[in-house]
Amino acid sequence: MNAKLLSPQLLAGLSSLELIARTVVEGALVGLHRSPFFGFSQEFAEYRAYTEGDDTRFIDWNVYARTGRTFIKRFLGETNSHLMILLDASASMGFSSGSMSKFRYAQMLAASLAWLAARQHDAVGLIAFDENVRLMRPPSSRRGQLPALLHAIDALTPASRTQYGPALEGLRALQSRRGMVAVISDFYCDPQQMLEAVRPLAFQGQDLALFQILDPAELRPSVKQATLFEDMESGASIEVTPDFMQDQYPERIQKHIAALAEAARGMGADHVLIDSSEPLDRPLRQYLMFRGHRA
Amino acid sequence: MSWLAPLFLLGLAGLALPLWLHRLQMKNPKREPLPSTMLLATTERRLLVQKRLRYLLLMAFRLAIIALLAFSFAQPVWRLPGTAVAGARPQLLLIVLDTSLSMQAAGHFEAAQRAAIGLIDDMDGSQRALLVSAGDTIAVIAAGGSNQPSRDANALWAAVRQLHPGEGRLDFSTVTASLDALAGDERGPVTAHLISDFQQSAAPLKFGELVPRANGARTLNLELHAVITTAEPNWRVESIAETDGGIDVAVRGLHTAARRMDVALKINDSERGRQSVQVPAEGSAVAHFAAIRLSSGENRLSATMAVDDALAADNTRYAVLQDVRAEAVPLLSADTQGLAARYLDAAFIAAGRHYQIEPHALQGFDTRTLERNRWIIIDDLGAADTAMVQALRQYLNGGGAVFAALGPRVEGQKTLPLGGETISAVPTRTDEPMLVGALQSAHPVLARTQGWGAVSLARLAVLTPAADDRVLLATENGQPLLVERSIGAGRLLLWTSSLDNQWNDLPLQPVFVSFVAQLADYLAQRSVNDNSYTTGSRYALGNSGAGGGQVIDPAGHEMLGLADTGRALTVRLGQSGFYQVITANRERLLAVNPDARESDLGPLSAQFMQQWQSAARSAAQPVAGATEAHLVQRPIVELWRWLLLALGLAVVAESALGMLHLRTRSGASS
Repeated sequence: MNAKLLSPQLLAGLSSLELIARTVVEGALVGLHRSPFFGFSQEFAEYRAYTEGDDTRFIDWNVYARTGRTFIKRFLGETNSHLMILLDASASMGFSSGSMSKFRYAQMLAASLAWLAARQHDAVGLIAFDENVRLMRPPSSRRGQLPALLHAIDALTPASRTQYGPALEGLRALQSRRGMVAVISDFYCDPQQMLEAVRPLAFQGQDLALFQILDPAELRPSVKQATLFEDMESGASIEVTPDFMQDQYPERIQKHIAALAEAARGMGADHVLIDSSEPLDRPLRQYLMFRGHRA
Repeated sequence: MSWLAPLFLLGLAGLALPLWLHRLQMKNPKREPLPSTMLLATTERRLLVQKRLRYLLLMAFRLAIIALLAFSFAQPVWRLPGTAVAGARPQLLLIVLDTSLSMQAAGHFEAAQRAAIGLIDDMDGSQRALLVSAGDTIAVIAAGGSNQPSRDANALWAAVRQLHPGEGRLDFSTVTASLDALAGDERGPVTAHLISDFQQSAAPLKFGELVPRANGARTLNLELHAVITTAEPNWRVESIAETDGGIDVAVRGLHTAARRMDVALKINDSERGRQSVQVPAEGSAVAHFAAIRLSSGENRLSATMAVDDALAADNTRYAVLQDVRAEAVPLLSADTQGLAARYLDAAFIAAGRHYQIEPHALQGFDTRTLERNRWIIIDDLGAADTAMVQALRQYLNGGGAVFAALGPRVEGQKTLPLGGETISAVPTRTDEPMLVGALQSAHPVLARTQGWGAVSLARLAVLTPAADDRVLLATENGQPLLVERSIGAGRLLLWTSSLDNQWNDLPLQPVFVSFVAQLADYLAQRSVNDNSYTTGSRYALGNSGAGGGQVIDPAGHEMLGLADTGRALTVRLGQSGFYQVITANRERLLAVNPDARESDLGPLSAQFMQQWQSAARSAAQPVAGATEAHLVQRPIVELWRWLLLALGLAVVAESALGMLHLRTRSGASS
């Protein structure tokens, strides 16, 4: 699917998160199938009976012709794993310099990941957090889980401050066995502190992927005059000069991103920097690559 | 420190503007949300502090500019410490500033103002001061809107600053005589401080008139403050006179060395000549302008000498000279064909005077035209009827002049028309005619006449002169022959005999020519000299021939208000230059010049001043138990110049810092 069709602005025009997630995933997967570099493992693993909702492209028509029954080919990589999505719903995620806020992007990404995981029969759960855990859904692959998750994700609004501790504590309690953890946040925190917080998860054998979503204005600020910036979470305000914002601030944020990536690598986690103006297929591909490696 | 114009301190209210704008700016910067300020924390605070400091400095300079502007205009002055002797201090100070013409000399009045300000500043809280201007008038100067003594030093200072010297003449005796009245009801000690250049020419003849006298038991001291101690050289234009075929301008130097200078003559605003004269040391010289013809009627003459001396106000003199060409003079007569008209006409021609006798019959004469003439002749007053007499009285009251003879028609009348005195005719004496026995040779009418002894009189109307009458000519036995009488604003010259050769032979005598010429000049108020008035003098409006009218001063301003135009009797001629007096029927020019005595810038000698001061102090009656306080003048430092310098520096600094601040806000790299 053309990446343009996966642009956040276009997706934002769709009415429901479910539709968005389906569009994103289908579009990304089409791209993946056509690409020699990405995609599922093509090594046949097994057949399983077709259930409603399965992709009809994977029906083995030869088997159907022979037996009159529909079976889905399952490949290597389609293992029964589970995915926990940690979605940052703090106030800083509500920032927007254009028509879409970071949080809406995060919602679409979380929904897409959930949809993809459910499509691959992975159990998927959700923890939405700010300074506390706001919502916790243990991972499940039951049929009603996905709609419930999408509904829960859609209902969230960003508020309050950010604290990763309670969310990670909650995750440790929920996920006792090895699985995948996708943390979707803007990660305005000390990288070392983040490292310390997630280290227990790494020891637990969890596979971590950090999806850092930043607005273009955060990455490339454009300030024409001295401006009083107000912290969306703490309320603190600092007046800055244009030359600082244009010269020094981009350096600082790149350093911060690099430190975070380094910290993620240090604990064996993946770090994906996402510009909230870019199409969603890339982060999705990143996830799939990450999943593929784990498989 | 004190302020000469404290009202300008209200400008300090403008300080609120930059403060408000600063507050507004600080409170209302552009605000934007940011997900997290964690990456801004460290460095930006430092930059922000720098920026805020820079902006505070900018605001400080702007506040300083406004404050310095207000302070400069408020004119602060600083009195350096002086000394004062403790003692009983007078409660009321009379600060009398000489505002006569001589104080216009360079530096005189400024020194007087400084002395006055020093006295004001030395006042303590219990004292009050009254500011007095002394010129041709002694006037109280209002301070702070009141003519009462004031304790408000700032108001007194402002009043001193607004004073200017005038063009009048000061006589010190006038000042000292006024002091007691100026002190009013003050019971405590009063000290008058007379600040002047103490011209010698302003001293009265009697020394005693210089010592003030106080009524009652209060002490009235007089302290003298001289602004000059040595004579200053000064030249003045002394006179403008018409001579045969020309104009003479006299120039005099006072306390001067010999000097050559140019004298320019203007007639009716047109320069008619320039002469160079050598004025000897402390002497005079005459610049003669030959072949000058005057225009018909009144001519404005001004003579100016080109010299840079101490007093410029007397370097120009003004004069009004009249070229009377055949001025018509009505001769009211019962017999217009009579001899009087012919004799008078012939006399004017012989005298070279440009008068034209116009005979008019007394009966039927339109008396409304009387006012058009400066003077008229009546050859026989006895022929005037009641209406004519009334008209003549009105004409005289309005300032007109009449030369009237008492001829044959007065015979039989018991009372003199226009006078009411009893008259009687002297019987004819043919064998022993009467002769002129007494005359007032100093009177302008008779001053240059000779030959009265040859005049013989056969008859005359005998009258008893009134108390105010002036008998200019009388017979041997004391009968008045020529009487001058003032009626209202006018003058009547009465010849108690006839003007033809019936009762006397005056028209046939040589003296008749000069008599008639001088009589005409006198009644027409024409002088061979400049006929000028002195600044500060008063001009009687009735002299113009009618009550009311308008007077326009040299600056072109009307001097009389609407209500005064019909009833004002006199006007004060306060400026030098030409005044126009306009009445219903005529206009007249007056030339006004400063008093010549003000041109002498030689002060009273130090010895005289000492004597005066001692006499004044001796005359002051001391209050029991009190001692005289000697006030010492302290020098003043005017601070406004320094404030203006500081203002300039603040403006430069604000501009530079403002540019830097603007660059910072616009995003230029710092």
